[in-house]
Amino acid sequence: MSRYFLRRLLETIPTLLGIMVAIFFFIRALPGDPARLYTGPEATASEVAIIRQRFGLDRSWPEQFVRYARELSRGSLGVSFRSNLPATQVIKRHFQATLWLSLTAICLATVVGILVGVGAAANRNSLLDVGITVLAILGISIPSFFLSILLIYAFAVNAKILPVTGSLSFRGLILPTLALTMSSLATIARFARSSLLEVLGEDFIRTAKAKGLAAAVVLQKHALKNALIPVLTITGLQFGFLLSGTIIVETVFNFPGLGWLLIQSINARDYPVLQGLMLVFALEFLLINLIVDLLYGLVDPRISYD
Amino acid sequence: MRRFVWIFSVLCLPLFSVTFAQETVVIAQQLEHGSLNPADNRGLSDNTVGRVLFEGLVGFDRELNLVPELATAWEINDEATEITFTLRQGVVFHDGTPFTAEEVKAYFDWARDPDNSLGGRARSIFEDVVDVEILDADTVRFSLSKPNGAMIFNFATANGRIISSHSIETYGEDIGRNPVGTGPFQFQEWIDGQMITVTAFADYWGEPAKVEAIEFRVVPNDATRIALLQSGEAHFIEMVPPALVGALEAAPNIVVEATESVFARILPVNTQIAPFDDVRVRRALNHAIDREQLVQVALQGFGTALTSPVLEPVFGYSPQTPYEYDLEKAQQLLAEAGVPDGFSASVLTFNSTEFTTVGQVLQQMLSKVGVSLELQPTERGALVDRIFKPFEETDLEMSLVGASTPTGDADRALKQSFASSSWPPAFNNWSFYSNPKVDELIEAGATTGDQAERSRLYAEAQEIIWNDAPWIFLYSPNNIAGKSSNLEGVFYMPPRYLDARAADFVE
Amino acid sequence: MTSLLPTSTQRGLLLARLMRHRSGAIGLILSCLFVLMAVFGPLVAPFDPSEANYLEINQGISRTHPLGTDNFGRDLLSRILVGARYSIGIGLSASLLGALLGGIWGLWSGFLGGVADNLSMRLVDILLAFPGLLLAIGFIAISGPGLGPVILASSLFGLPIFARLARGSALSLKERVFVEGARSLGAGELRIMFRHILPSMIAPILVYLTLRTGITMLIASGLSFLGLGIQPPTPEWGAMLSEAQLYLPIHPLMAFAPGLVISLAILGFNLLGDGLRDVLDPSLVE
Repeated sequence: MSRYFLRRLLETIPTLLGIMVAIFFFIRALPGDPARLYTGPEATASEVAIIRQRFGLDRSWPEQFVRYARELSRGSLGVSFRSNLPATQVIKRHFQATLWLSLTAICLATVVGILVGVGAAANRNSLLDVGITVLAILGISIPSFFLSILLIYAFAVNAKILPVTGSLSFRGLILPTLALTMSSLATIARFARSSLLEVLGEDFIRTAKAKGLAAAVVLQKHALKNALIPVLTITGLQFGFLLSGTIIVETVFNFPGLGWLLIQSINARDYPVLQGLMLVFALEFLLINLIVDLLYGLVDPRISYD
Repeated sequence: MRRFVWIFSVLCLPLFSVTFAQETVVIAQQLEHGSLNPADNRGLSDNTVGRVLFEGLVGFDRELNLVPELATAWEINDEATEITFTLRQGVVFHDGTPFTAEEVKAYFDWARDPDNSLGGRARSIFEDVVDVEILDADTVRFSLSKPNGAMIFNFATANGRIISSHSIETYGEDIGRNPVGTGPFQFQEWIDGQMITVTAFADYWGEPAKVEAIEFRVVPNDATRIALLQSGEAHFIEMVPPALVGALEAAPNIVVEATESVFARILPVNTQIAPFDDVRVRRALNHAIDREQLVQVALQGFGTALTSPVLEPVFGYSPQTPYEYDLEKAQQLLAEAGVPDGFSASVLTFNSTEFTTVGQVLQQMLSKVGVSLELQPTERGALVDRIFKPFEETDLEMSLVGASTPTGDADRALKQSFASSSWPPAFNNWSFYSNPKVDELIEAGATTGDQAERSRLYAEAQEIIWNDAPWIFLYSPNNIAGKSSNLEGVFYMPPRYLDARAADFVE
Repeated sequence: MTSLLPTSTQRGLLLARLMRHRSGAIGLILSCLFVLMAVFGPLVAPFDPSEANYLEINQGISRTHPLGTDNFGRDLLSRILVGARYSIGIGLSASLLGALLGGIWGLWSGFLGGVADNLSMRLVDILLAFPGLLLAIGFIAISGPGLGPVILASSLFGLPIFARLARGSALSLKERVFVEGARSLGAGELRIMFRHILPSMIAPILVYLTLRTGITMLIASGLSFLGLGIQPPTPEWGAMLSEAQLYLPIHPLMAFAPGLVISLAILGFNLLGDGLRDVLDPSLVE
């Protein structure tokens, strides 16, 4: 088990390195000069040159790469072009915001999603099932910016009970969480439903039923536990998606998370922050994948890692 | 839905009792803040915050006339090579240090220092200053390397505002996040990318601030900004989309203010390539645009048709004979130029609502004279790359862009867009326009201190440019702000930054 | 699984089973309706979708304009009808492109196995971890906005997922009896891959393709919201909706119409995908 873990961990290293190199050259290949964007449209060429030098962009790409690698080995991501702050500090602050938002959203999505999914599966093909399925799928069918705007108008502008913009406070988290939860909730509900149905069709459940156990007991004792495995997986993956910051919801609610930062950094071609963000996204992605795999093994003993 | 919302709100009311501290003004801005170092100021949002924190030797009033600030008087010699300021007495910085002649010299020497990488913008606009001399305790003289009659206006821009030399020493590289000025408000907090808070400065020399604090919040999304004003969370919002003015005004507690700007929306054409190298084609295009309708349709009327290459609030403005909307004349001119059936051309523009909307209207208008436009709405970063390519590499045919005059002086307006030396990448002459006579007039205007003579020279230049038509002259959009009706003393300046020094709540 | 090679009779059976699956049937009907709309919509649109009429801006429902007009006075019904071709077209073609490229990639990788497989899957990991939006911006920034770049950019979001899916199937199928049989009969590797393995993995890919179509439409509308999608005046639904969000306080109808069709279309494809999965996966058949 620990050997497997170690091997998987080692495997992520080349991926990480690959991502580092890829992002470094990719963002530099994008059209858009950070110095020109920083100085604005009213700048003269000499002004732009000063800034270009300050950003270290007057050097060749290999030189810049060596410098970037050297800084990284010292745990520094460089200074953000956009804000003149250390990139690590900028990313850390936005990461915290996104972490809280993702946590609340995933908790809500998991609890409600599983309840809804189980409800649908237990009453398969009933009107309830179809209704829940349609509703759940509708949740992932509405473009999130539209849903967000609707939420703002309903609760902040008309009812005036919640703030328009999201923030790291109880009230400030409600609307973005709602907007964000919808798609994860729908995904989890659908997974819970189909995986429960799958388990309910298996032999040991039939046996339990044949033995005369009440349907509710069967559902609770036997089916649910087994059905939870894939739900766990999808929850983990969904959490991973949320953790990368949800660009659109964060933009509409002006929520200071990673997605918001990504957009601002792309607009400003803020190379140091973009490089750092990519590293964070890649790490998150790899870690979550790993953890999901491990959890899978813990819950389902049939899976071995050798 | 309504009913649900109603029930929900009743249930939640005890949970979320909303109270607003009326002592804090909340302003929602469109653009992010970058740096509060005045020497490095480059954005409108920085300029807005800087306006309440700092003061310059001189400043602008709402009509962009020069007014005294840290200097009570100033004098320019006849050759326009020396500017002498008489300084205000009894002024202190937010850190308690007194404002003196030494401070003036220290700031401008620092800002102009070629080894100071934090002074990019100030260094370029004060390029002609060679020396700052302290004549006595309340007199400072700036000497220029060559006559420059437009220089005084630079002292009134964001980059001419003065910070304490003590703070420059203390904070070094971090000066942009630790501003210490002499304005009516002092810096309190900056949450990166979110907001800057300033509080009233008790020892301000002039009329004291009327509110305790101002929060400058950054809200780039238009719809979100509107919602903030509607919900009462913000008292003032920038950049109201014209289409929503009516809806906002209908609300009882909201007022919309539209004022003139020094922004122009223009369509520079590449005057060096066919068919645009023929002045008749350029005039034809100008005749084929119905500016009134354009402003009406794209901006709901919140803009004014351009009447000169220089905008009205700018010093040196001289109105020209408008290109009347006349399709026959346009067609006739095109025929004379050998393109009777029109042509097609690409138009590089921003991917924002205003530009794409205007682009679509222009497309329709020009199609009536056989000119078909291929719109290329482009993300800002990519656009900047393409538009600043030197002539040998450029693929620009037409571009639908903006131009502004932050200094409020015709020298800047004409030089950046029409001087031969301003071809990209040096500056903003996107039409690759070149006329030796215009170059001469711009140079002559800059090198005399006689403001009446400058006006005359610039008027002549404007007439030539207007007739040469290197741009399709479009319009100047208004600055449109929304505010709650009990807020006063916050307003747009023509260069599109806000002056919030006199912010006050009234009943 | 191997029995899923669809023959004509099975295809008929599939349809019948899908029609018995309640939500699947709804999905099938909705999807078909929207595909029909994409094909015939532009032919029956009463007005030119990009023709502005400044005398009739922001109008409500009327006999001439059953869905009202937008901020340019353009007929919303016509824009929706013509826009179907763009929106549905982007959704289908981008997910198809992603499935095709990703499918070939995964198939090839799984089939080769060993170091090559390992390397190519690391590449897929990189792609998966790379924010799709950054890639999309890169693409669109380099090529300029347009139908092609938007389709390509949207397909990139799904490509690595399809690659993984295809590789998984290829891995499990590679060792199956029928493949061994073909190999022992002297079939070339390429032939085995395309004649035997590829058809067998069509089912899972088909299911995901359908689901992906909905997701792709969402992504395309998100790109429009960020100003990177199909540019106006092209009546793509996502672009219409993001243009309309600003007008929500004064002219909600302008947002309502595209919002409704876009959500319904995505709903349709999602339901169909779900139904297909249920029907194609024998473990769920009672």
